Amino acid sequence: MSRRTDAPIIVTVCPRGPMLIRGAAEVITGDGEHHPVRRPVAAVCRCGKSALFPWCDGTHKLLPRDKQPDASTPADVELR
Amino acid sequence: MVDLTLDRLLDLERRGWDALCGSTGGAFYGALMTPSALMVLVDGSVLDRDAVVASLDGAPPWDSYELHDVRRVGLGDGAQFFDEHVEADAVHEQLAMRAICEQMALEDPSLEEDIIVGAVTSLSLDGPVATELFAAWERGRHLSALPAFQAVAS
Repeated sequence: MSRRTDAPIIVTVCPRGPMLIRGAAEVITGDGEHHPVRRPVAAVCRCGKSALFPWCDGTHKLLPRDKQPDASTPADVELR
Repeated sequence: MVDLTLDRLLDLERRGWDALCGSTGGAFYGALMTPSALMVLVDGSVLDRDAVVASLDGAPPWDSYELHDVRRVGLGDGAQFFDEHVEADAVHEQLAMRAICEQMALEDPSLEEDIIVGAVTSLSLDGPVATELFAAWERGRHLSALPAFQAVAS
């Protein structure tokens, strides 16, 4: 699948939460699966516990502070 | 929420039947079922978790079982509808914080206290409302039966 536009992918990291992505056509997870992005802004899980992985489902809020992702925790995905 | 693949469902089904063959079905399904889960039998009777635990432990054991022509039916569009809302909520919550509140506070720092009052008020109201909704849901009552709803409707 090719990129939807020529616009760059913009990533906004939410402290202790997901990362918001704009302009990506798909998210590729570690197992090689391609997940098409269906909305203008998507929240990608960074805590690794989402039942909808790679999408955020809010589970990070239920984790103890030291298990929540900090500003530098990468999401285990590739954006395209 | 674990993805219920056919393999995983079959594994649970076999372990369930193994338990029924050893008269330990109550313990097995008691640990597996969530508090609101129901077991529907082929004759149409419905058991909640407590009834399952009470009736299956010590029940006469099945001698054997065979599973044939197994397939996963799936939940259809309903499950997709639910997932879509969870996913949309996760995005919109972050956008409200980052793109709206944070941006407003940066553009006009004098609004900071107003934004915090608004956020705290909204979260404080969410708590009691959610508590009532969950209580109604767990008791199997319709939302229209809630006192708060009745007060507004009348």
